[in-house]
Amino acid sequence: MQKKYKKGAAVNYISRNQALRKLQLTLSDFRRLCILKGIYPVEPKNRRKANRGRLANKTYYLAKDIRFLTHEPIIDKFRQMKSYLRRLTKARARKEKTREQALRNNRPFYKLDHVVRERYPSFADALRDLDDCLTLVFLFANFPLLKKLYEPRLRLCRRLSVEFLHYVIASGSLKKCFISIKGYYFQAEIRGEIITWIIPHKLGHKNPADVDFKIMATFLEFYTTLLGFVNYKLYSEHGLIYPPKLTFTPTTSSSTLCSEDEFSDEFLASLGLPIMKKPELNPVDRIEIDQEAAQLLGDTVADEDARKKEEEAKTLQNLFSKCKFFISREVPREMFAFAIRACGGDVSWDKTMCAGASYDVSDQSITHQLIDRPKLHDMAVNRVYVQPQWIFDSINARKLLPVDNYLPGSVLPPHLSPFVEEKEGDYVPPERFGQRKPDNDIEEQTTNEVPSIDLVNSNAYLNGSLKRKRTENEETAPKITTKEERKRAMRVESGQVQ
Amino acid sequence: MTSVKRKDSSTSTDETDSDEEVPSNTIGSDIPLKWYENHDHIGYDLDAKKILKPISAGKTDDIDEFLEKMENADYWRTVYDDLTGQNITLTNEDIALMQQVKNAKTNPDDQVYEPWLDTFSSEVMIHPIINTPESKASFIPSKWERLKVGKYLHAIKMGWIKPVPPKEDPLLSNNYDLWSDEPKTNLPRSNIPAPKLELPGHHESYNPSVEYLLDDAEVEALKTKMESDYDENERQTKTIFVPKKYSSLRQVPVYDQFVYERFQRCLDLYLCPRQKRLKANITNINDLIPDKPKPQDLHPYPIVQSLIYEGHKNMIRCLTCHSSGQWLASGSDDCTVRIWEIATTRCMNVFQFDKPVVSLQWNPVLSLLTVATGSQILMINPKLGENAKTLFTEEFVKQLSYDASNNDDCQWSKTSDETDKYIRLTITHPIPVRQIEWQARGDYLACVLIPRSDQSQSKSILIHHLSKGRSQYPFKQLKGAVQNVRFHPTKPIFIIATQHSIKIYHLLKQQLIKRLYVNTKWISSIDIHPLGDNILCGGYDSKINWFDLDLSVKPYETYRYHKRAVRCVRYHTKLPLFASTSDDGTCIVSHCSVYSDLLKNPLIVPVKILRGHQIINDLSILDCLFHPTQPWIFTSGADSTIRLFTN
Repeated sequence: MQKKYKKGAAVNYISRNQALRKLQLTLSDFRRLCILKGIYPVEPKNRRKANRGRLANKTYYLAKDIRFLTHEPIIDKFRQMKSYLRRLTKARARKEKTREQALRNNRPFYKLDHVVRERYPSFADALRDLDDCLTLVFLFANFPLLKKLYEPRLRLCRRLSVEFLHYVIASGSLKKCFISIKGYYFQAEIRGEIITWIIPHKLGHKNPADVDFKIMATFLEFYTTLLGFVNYKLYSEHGLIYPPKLTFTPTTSSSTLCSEDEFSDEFLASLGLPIMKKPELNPVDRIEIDQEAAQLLGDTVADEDARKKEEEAKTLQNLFSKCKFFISREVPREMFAFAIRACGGDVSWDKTMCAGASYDVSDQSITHQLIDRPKLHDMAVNRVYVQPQWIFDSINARKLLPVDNYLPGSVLPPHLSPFVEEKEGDYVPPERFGQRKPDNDIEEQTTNEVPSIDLVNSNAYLNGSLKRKRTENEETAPKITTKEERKRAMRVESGQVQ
Repeated sequence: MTSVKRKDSSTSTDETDSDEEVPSNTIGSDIPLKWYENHDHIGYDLDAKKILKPISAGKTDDIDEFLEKMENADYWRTVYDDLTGQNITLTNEDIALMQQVKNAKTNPDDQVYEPWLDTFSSEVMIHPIINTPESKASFIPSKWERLKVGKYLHAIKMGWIKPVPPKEDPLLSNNYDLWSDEPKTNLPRSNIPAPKLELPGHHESYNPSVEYLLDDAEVEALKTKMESDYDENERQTKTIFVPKKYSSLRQVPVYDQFVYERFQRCLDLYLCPRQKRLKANITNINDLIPDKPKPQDLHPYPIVQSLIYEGHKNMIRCLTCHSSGQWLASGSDDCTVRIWEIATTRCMNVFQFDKPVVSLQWNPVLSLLTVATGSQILMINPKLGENAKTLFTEEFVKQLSYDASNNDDCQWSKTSDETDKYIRLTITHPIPVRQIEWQARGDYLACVLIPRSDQSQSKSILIHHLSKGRSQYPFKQLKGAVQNVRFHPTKPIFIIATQHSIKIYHLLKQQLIKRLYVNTKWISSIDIHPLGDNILCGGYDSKINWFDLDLSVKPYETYRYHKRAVRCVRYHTKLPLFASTSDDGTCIVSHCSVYSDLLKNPLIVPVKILRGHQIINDLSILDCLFHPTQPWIFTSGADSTIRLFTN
């Protein structure tokens, strides 16, 4: 007779303590290993069966996963690290300087290349899992360089994040962006994979109390390795030189006191300048699609959608191609420089604000200036002054929105999330229609005729020298209703109230 | 009660012999005081009279002590001197000195920083202090040092001591393509991906529309709900999010829960038990259709015509490429085989035969180019590439010995170096040969013959065993004219394409495994995927069938994108590509990603139509061949040229 608990759930699952005993690791080492190798607990279909009839609350892992962990070379490195630390403390206590130095020189380290390959056998797998990786790397890139957080890794985070942003700019794969209270959400489509990440607001840093940075650092260790490889692959497949280089070498003026490398790194990090491409005969991004071949399998609805999508992507890539932006110093420069450049625009800022400024505020060809203060005293006539939200709203609407609502000092229209996909019966804020409707009456004047009379008027109005006329456009703007009315409408449509 | 007021040192010297001066200690410091404990006196004066102890000195009772404490302002600085038996009031100087000692400080009056007088070098003397001559040993190089250096030198020479390898920075070592070779296998474990982060809604905006803002009551309700949901056993991951409206971007503060939320996400990723959901949550049926990949993502594949190999006089029927990717051989109807250097289009060698060349293939292991012409199969050692391989092939052929009596139908004959420079082996059949195909390990050669009408079809397939020199007809009976045969790339499996069907045989078990139903009228060519799970089949009625052997015996896909008869279908050995050539003068390259995950369908997308060959007598491209390593394709055509298309 078959004995009970010899096969099935009882042997397929293994509790955490059993796993620790099997691997002969401490709990903290086991957790580190699980983070690096991407091993997670699983919920057995039947807890009682997995626990051989007992009903205790336990964490279960797949026995196969744990068996797979036993062969991991990193475990050995953990042990080496432990004995290294023991030796080091001993040498330090005995004040054996040479021994301590020799030990430090031979500090054991492990590489995670094989782990990345194991967890993501193909590049597409890696891209699929990039959301968390990017968000964490961007978070750490925005941290102050504290000793406590292992400064070289923070620098690495900064470098990797800048590299990734440069790739998104170069490939024009930015799809959506959103300013939230939490930070800036960006969404890009890379090789058919939708990738979303958050960049926190860059305003000071408060050390949170109930956060274990050790765990985050372990995650970061893996994520930086992963992102390094992903960046390399993305760059090499897109025909870009990795690590990224600027198309020109910034001349070190006598006033700068840093080395040339740091100087060009700063230029690179400013995101304002294009990066170098590999000299290739057939760069991948310029390969023409063989339309004939594409249609061999026949036209389907999906093809039509794909074509529409591609057209949309193209318009988005060239959305700001006719515009030239200047970012005032009160606007978060990096996010807006990235968003503008990803949509094909030119951008610059004050020279004293950051390296990489390519033109001055007095440049006559500037079409838009982003300002975030109620009033500016000396305004140029031939450019539009807009609040930064206009950039994000325009990108999400896939067209240049009319600037009327975004003039400095004016009450901004609500900033809506582009990630919400309304289904039938959902509540849709009335402002949504204004942005979504393709055949909207409000059409932005094409930017080549920017110094139009309207513009002059509105600027003059802002300067206080002219009274603003009511234009017809304002008639079509969504009806302003009270907060209560709108709230009620929201509840009714979402089914809360009859 | 008596007490002595100590005077300052400066004044005390003046009044040493005043009458009030109480006699000082005369007993000496080394006489223990307890000797006088029971006496009234303590010591003697110069006249040998006893010095009486001061009355009750140091032996006051508590009340006196208290009164003294209350009345005497200097009580705190009064100490009892054992030697004299008197109370002494300390001076300010004494207290300062005591404090100095206590604080381990020097007296400021002491000269700590006196100028240093260098006894030896300040005054240079004319005579040396020590005048002994230097020892002999100081002139001779040290023997022990020499031995030590010699030891190190020897160790370096022997390679025992190595220079310290340059330190590798683990942070900066990822400058290479990790995914350069596409995966052969998927994860060995079941993988449950973590759910993605929730995307933000309108209420998370820095400037939401007013209806998303919460009243105080609503915030309260949210908080109470949060508290009621609180469970001690569960980790708290959620934070209360209250929407806020800022009138401009500059007013948005930093979100103080950000790091905490990221941390919670990290914890979720490695602590939360995951469970596979078998029921998919599909809202839109169109989500099931995968997006078509962009052509950029399918790169690399051949795009442009780069080289033309000219020299043949008649149509070129067959191509083969050396495994090194350096040489190309082509067989033509002008009865020649030409070997080309791929990079330069230089014709390295020409072999002339009597009959048109119908098929040729390079041996995968040895340096043997196998050519089928008329009813003969010739093996040529073209002496190209690695010298070692060429010599090994020579030796290998030399040590082969054939028993002529074994082979009734075909004649094996070796040709030595003297008679012919290149041709090494000849196998002569009674009937003409249609196709030859080497097995992947290069020992077996399958050969398709064209039997005469009076012969049985079973005579149409012959397998030669090169190292044994044996030939055999593996099939006793066969139906239908055999068009094409292929060996499975890894397993002992043999695939035969007859006019209407494809049969797959296991060679060791000697049985039919599968029979594929083809929906073409006349098969022209087949090829097997390098992983061995998919078969491509082209037909003269311009159809191409893709079979997934794990799936079904019926075609997985049928393509009709050629306008005329399909002549040749080929897979790339390394990259996910296949190509088909047709009489309409086109060669269509398609991307085909095959997944070992059985649930995932292969992704097949035509990516490029290659043109270039002229159409002569309704024939255009007859054969195509992928480069063994690069994403390049060779096409040979009726216009007696070979063209190379590169990426």
